[in-house]
Amino acid sequence: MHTLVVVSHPQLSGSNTQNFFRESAQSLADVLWHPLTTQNFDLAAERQLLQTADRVVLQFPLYWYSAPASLWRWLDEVWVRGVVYDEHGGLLGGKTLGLVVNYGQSPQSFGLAGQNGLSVADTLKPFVGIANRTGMTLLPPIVVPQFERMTDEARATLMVRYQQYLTLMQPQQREEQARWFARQLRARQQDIFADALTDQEDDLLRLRQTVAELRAGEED
Amino acid sequence: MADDTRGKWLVAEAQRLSTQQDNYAEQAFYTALAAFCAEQQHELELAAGEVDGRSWNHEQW
Repeated sequence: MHTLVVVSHPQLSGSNTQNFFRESAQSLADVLWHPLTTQNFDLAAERQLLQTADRVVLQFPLYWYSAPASLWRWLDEVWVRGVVYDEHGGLLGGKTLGLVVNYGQSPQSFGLAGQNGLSVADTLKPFVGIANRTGMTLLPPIVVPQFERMTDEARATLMVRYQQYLTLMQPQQREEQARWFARQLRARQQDIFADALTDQEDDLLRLRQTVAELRAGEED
Repeated sequence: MADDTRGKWLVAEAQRLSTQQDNYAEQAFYTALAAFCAEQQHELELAAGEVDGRSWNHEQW
Protein backbone atom coordinates (compact mmCIF):
# COMPACT_ATOMS: atom_id res chain seq x y z
CA MET A 1 0.00 0.00 0.00
CA HIS A 2 1.36 3.40 -1.00
CA THR A 3 0.53 6.33 1.31
CA LEU A 4 0.76 10.02 0.51
CA VAL A 5 1.00 12.25 3.60
CA VAL A 6 0.00 15.81 2.73
CA VAL A 7 1.21 18.17 5.45
CA SER A 8 -0.20 21.66 5.76
CA HIS A 9 1.27 23.94 8.41
CA PRO A 10 2.07 27.67 8.18
CA GLN A 11 5.35 27.28 10.14
CA LEU A 12 6.22 23.69 9.44
CA SER A 13 9.85 23.59 10.55
CA GLY A 14 8.98 25.08 13.95
CA SER A 15 6.21 22.61 14.72
CA ASN A 16 7.16 20.01 17.34
CA THR A 17 4.07 18.01 16.49
CA GLN A 18 4.89 17.82 12.77
CA ASN A 19 8.55 17.08 13.48
CA PHE A 20 7.44 14.22 15.73
CA PHE A 21 5.22 12.83 12.96
CA ARG A 22 7.93 13.23 10.33
CA GLU A 23 10.42 11.30 12.47
CA SER A 24 7.79 8.66 13.20
CA ALA A 25 7.22 8.14 9.47
CA GLN A 26 10.90 8.19 8.51
CA SER A 27 11.51 4.44 8.73
CA LEU A 28 8.36 3.47 6.82
CA ALA A 29 8.63 2.09 3.31
CA ASP A 30 6.10 3.24 0.74
CA VAL A 31 5.13 6.42 2.60
CA LEU A 32 5.68 9.75 0.86
CA TRP A 33 5.93 12.83 3.10
CA HIS A 34 4.58 15.76 1.08
CA PRO A 35 4.63 19.16 2.83
CA LEU A 36 2.74 21.97 1.10
CA THR A 37 5.47 24.58 1.20
CA THR A 38 5.20 26.08 -2.26
CA GLN A 39 2.74 28.62 -3.63
CA ASN A 40 3.02 27.26 -7.15
CA PHE A 41 1.99 23.67 -7.59
CA ASP A 42 3.01 21.58 -10.57
CA LEU A 43 -0.55 20.42 -11.12
CA ALA A 44 0.33 17.42 -13.27
CA ALA A 45 2.86 16.19 -10.70
CA GLU A 46 0.43 16.75 -7.82
CA ARG A 47 -2.32 14.85 -9.61
CA GLN A 48 0.10 12.04 -10.36
CA LEU A 49 0.93 11.81 -6.64
CA LEU A 50 -2.75 11.65 -5.82
CA GLN A 51 -3.56 9.05 -8.44
CA THR A 52 -0.72 6.70 -7.50
CA ALA A 53 -1.55 6.75 -3.77
CA ASP A 54 -3.73 4.07 -2.18
CA ARG A 55 -4.15 6.21 0.92
CA VAL A 56 -4.08 9.98 1.21
CA VAL A 57 -3.51 11.38 4.70
CA LEU A 58 -4.27 15.06 5.20
CA GLN A 59 -2.32 16.32 8.18
CA PHE A 60 -2.72 19.76 9.73
CA PRO A 61 -3.32 21.83 12.87
CA LEU A 62 -6.83 23.23 13.27
CA TYR A 63 -6.93 26.88 12.16
CA TRP A 64 -10.17 28.68 12.81
CA TYR A 65 -12.06 25.39 13.01
CA SER A 66 -10.69 24.20 9.70
CA ALA A 67 -7.50 23.29 7.86
CA PRO A 68 -4.89 26.00 7.14
CA ALA A 69 -5.20 27.91 3.86
CA SER A 70 -2.42 25.94 2.11
CA LEU A 71 -4.42 22.72 2.32
CA TRP A 72 -7.58 24.31 0.92
CA ARG A 73 -5.55 25.90 -1.84
CA TRP A 74 -4.07 22.52 -2.74
CA LEU A 75 -7.51 20.91 -2.68
CA ASP A 76 -8.99 23.74 -4.76
CA GLU A 77 -6.32 23.42 -7.43
CA VAL A 78 -5.56 19.71 -7.50
CA TRP A 79 -8.83 18.05 -6.52
CA VAL A 80 -10.92 19.23 -9.44
CA ARG A 81 -13.65 17.86 -11.68
CA GLY A 82 -12.22 15.33 -14.10
CA VAL A 83 -9.48 14.38 -11.63
CA VAL A 84 -11.31 13.39 -8.45
CA TYR A 85 -14.92 13.23 -9.66
CA ASP A 86 -16.92 13.53 -12.84
CA GLU A 87 -20.55 13.35 -13.88
CA HIS A 88 -20.65 9.61 -13.05
CA GLY A 89 -19.31 10.00 -9.50
CA GLY A 90 -16.04 9.78 -7.61
CA LEU A 91 -12.82 8.90 -9.44
CA LEU A 92 -10.82 7.95 -6.32
CA GLY A 93 -12.75 4.75 -5.49
CA GLY A 94 -10.70 2.09 -3.70
CA LYS A 95 -8.55 4.70 -1.96
CA THR A 96 -8.77 5.65 1.70
CA LEU A 97 -8.68 9.16 3.15
CA GLY A 98 -7.04 9.71 6.52
CA LEU A 99 -6.95 12.83 8.71
CA VAL A 100 -4.30 13.63 11.31
CA VAL A 101 -5.35 16.76 13.15
CA ASN A 102 -3.87 18.53 16.13
CA TYR A 103 -4.88 21.56 18.17
CA GLY A 104 -3.61 23.52 21.14
CA GLN A 105 -6.74 24.05 23.21
CA SER A 106 -7.99 21.64 25.85
CA PRO A 107 -10.16 18.70 24.69
CA GLN A 108 -12.92 20.06 26.98
CA SER A 109 -13.09 23.24 24.91
CA PHE A 110 -14.43 21.13 22.03
CA GLY A 111 -16.75 19.14 24.30
CA LEU A 112 -20.46 19.59 24.89
CA ALA A 113 -20.87 23.03 26.56
CA GLY A 114 -17.19 23.75 25.81
CA GLN A 115 -16.11 27.27 24.89
CA ASN A 116 -15.88 26.53 21.16
CA GLY A 117 -19.50 25.45 20.91
CA LEU A 118 -18.69 22.69 18.44
CA SER A 119 -16.77 19.43 18.40
CA VAL A 120 -13.62 18.52 16.47
CA ALA A 121 -15.80 16.09 14.49
CA ASP A 122 -17.99 19.08 13.51
CA THR A 123 -14.95 20.93 12.16
CA LEU A 124 -13.97 17.90 10.05
CA LYS A 125 -17.40 17.42 8.42
CA PRO A 126 -16.28 18.88 5.05
CA PHE A 127 -13.88 15.94 4.70
CA VAL A 128 -16.81 13.55 4.98
CA GLY A 129 -18.27 15.30 1.95
CA ILE A 130 -14.95 15.22 0.12
CA ALA A 131 -14.57 11.47 0.75
CA ASN A 132 -18.13 10.78 -0.38
CA ARG A 133 -17.86 12.95 -3.47
CA THR A 134 -14.59 11.40 -4.61
CA GLY A 135 -15.50 7.80 -3.77
CA MET A 136 -12.88 7.46 -1.04
CA THR A 137 -13.37 5.65 2.26
CA LEU A 138 -12.78 7.92 5.23
CA LEU A 139 -10.72 6.46 8.08
CA PRO A 140 -11.43 7.42 11.69
CA PRO A 141 -9.13 10.43 12.20
CA ILE A 142 -6.20 10.71 14.56
CA VAL A 143 -6.88 13.78 16.70
CA VAL A 144 -4.10 15.10 18.92
CA PRO A 145 -4.93 17.80 21.45
CA GLN A 146 -2.11 19.60 23.27
CA PHE A 147 0.86 17.60 22.01
CA GLU A 148 3.19 19.59 24.28
CA ARG A 149 1.38 18.30 27.37
CA MET A 150 1.46 14.62 26.43
CA THR A 151 3.33 12.14 28.63
CA ASP A 152 6.22 10.08 27.21
CA GLU A 153 4.02 6.99 27.24
CA ALA A 154 1.20 8.76 25.39
CA ARG A 155 3.68 9.98 22.77
CA ALA A 156 5.09 6.47 22.33
CA THR A 157 1.58 5.14 21.78
CA LEU A 158 0.86 7.99 19.35
CA MET A 159 4.02 7.21 17.37
CA VAL A 160 2.98 3.59 16.87
CA ARG A 161 -0.64 4.48 16.20
CA TYR A 162 0.52 6.93 13.55
CA GLN A 163 2.85 4.36 11.91
CA GLN A 164 -0.05 1.89 11.80
CA TYR A 165 -2.33 4.60 10.41
CA LEU A 166 0.01 5.13 7.48
CA THR A 167 0.61 1.46 6.71
CA LEU A 168 -2.29 -0.81 7.77
CA MET A 169 -5.39 -1.43 5.66
CA GLN A 170 -7.64 -1.11 8.72
CA PRO A 171 -5.48 0.59 11.34
CA GLN A 172 -8.30 0.77 13.89
CA GLN A 173 -8.69 -3.02 13.95
CA ARG A 174 -6.87 -4.62 16.90
CA GLU A 175 -6.21 -7.96 15.15
CA GLU A 176 -4.33 -6.06 12.45
CA GLN A 177 -2.46 -4.11 15.12
CA ALA A 178 -1.45 -7.40 16.81
CA ARG A 179 -0.14 -8.76 13.49
CA TRP A 180 1.77 -5.50 12.94
CA PHE A 181 3.45 -5.79 16.36
CA ALA A 182 4.32 -9.44 15.66
CA ARG A 183 5.92 -8.51 12.31
CA GLN A 184 7.88 -5.70 13.95
CA LEU A 185 9.10 -8.07 16.67
CA ARG A 186 10.23 -10.66 14.12
CA ALA A 187 12.15 -7.91 12.26
CA ARG A 188 13.96 -7.32 15.59
CA GLN A 189 14.69 -11.06 16.04
CA GLN A 190 12.19 -11.22 18.92
CA ASP A 191 10.52 -14.39 17.63
CA ILE A 192 9.58 -15.83 21.03
CA PHE A 193 7.85 -12.59 21.94
CA ALA A 194 6.10 -12.48 18.55
CA ASP A 195 4.84 -16.07 18.99
CA ALA A 196 3.54 -15.38 22.51
CA LEU A 197 1.80 -12.21 21.34
CA THR A 198 0.18 -14.11 18.45
CA ASP A 199 -0.94 -16.94 20.78
CA GLN A 200 -2.44 -14.38 23.15
CA GLU A 201 -4.35 -12.74 20.29
CA ASP A 202 -5.58 -16.15 19.06
CA ASP A 203 -6.85 -16.94 22.58
CA LEU A 204 -8.68 -13.62 22.66
CA LEU A 205 -10.32 -14.29 19.26
CA ARG A 206 -11.40 -17.78 20.39
CA LEU A 207 -12.89 -16.42 23.62
CA ARG A 208 -14.75 -13.71 21.71
CA GLN A 209 -16.11 -16.35 19.36
CA THR A 210 -17.34 -18.34 22.38
CA VAL A 211 -18.95 -15.18 23.80
CA ALA A 212 -20.69 -14.56 20.48
CA GLU A 213 -22.01 -18.16 20.41
CA LEU A 214 -23.23 -17.96 24.02
CA ARG A 215 -25.01 -14.66 23.30
CA ALA A 216 -26.62 -16.12 20.19
CA GLY A 217 -27.67 -19.22 22.20
CA GLU A 218 -29.41 -17.04 24.79
CA GLU A 219 -31.35 -15.24 22.08
CA ASP A 220 -32.69 -18.53 20.63
CA MET B 1 -10.66 -16.90 34.72
CA ALA B 2 -8.09 -17.09 31.95
CA ASP B 3 -4.54 -17.88 32.91
CA ASP B 4 -2.89 -14.48 32.95
CA THR B 5 0.75 -15.70 33.16
CA ARG B 6 1.49 -15.13 29.49
CA GLY B 7 -0.22 -11.73 29.46
CA LYS B 8 1.79 -10.53 32.44
CA TRP B 9 5.01 -11.86 30.92
CA LEU B 10 4.33 -9.99 27.65
CA VAL B 11 3.82 -6.68 29.45
CA ALA B 12 6.88 -7.15 31.69
CA GLU B 13 9.08 -8.23 28.78
CA ALA B 14 8.03 -5.23 26.65
CA GLN B 15 8.74 -2.89 29.59
CA ARG B 16 12.12 -4.53 30.17
CA LEU B 17 13.09 -4.23 26.49
CA SER B 18 11.95 -0.60 26.44
CA THR B 19 14.40 0.30 29.22
CA GLN B 20 17.25 -1.41 27.33
CA GLN B 21 17.00 0.71 24.18
CA ASP B 22 19.28 3.67 23.49
CA ASN B 23 17.30 4.93 20.53
CA TYR B 24 14.05 6.91 21.10
CA ALA B 25 12.08 5.17 18.34
CA GLU B 26 12.94 1.73 19.74
CA GLN B 27 12.10 2.79 23.30
CA ALA B 28 8.80 4.18 22.08
CA PHE B 29 8.05 0.99 20.13
CA TYR B 30 8.45 -1.22 23.22
CA THR B 31 6.59 1.25 25.45
CA ALA B 32 3.64 1.20 23.02
CA LEU B 33 3.90 -2.58 22.80
CA ALA B 34 3.65 -2.85 26.61
CA ALA B 35 0.50 -0.71 26.52
CA PHE B 36 -0.94 -2.88 23.73
CA CYS B 37 -0.21 -6.10 25.64
CA ALA B 38 -1.77 -4.69 28.82
CA GLU B 39 -4.91 -3.79 26.86
CA GLN B 40 -4.92 -7.21 25.19
CA GLN B 41 -4.73 -8.92 28.62
CA HIS B 42 -7.58 -6.72 29.89
CA GLU B 43 -9.73 -7.68 26.88
CA LEU B 44 -8.94 -11.36 27.51
CA GLU B 45 -10.03 -11.06 31.16
CA LEU B 46 -13.26 -9.33 30.13
CA ALA B 47 -14.05 -11.99 27.52
CA ALA B 48 -13.18 -14.86 29.94
CA GLY B 49 -15.37 -13.24 32.61
CA GLU B 50 -18.26 -13.01 30.15
CA VAL B 51 -17.87 -16.67 29.16
CA ASP B 52 -17.98 -17.66 32.86
CA GLY B 53 -20.96 -15.42 33.53
CA ARG B 54 -23.00 -16.61 30.58
CA SER B 55 -22.12 -20.28 31.13
CA TRP B 56 -23.41 -20.00 34.73
CA ASN B 57 -27.01 -19.66 33.63
CA HIS B 58 -29.41 -20.87 36.34
CA GLU B 59 -32.24 -21.21 33.83
CA GLN B 60 -30.31 -24.06 32.26
CA TRP B 61 -29.82 -25.98 35.54
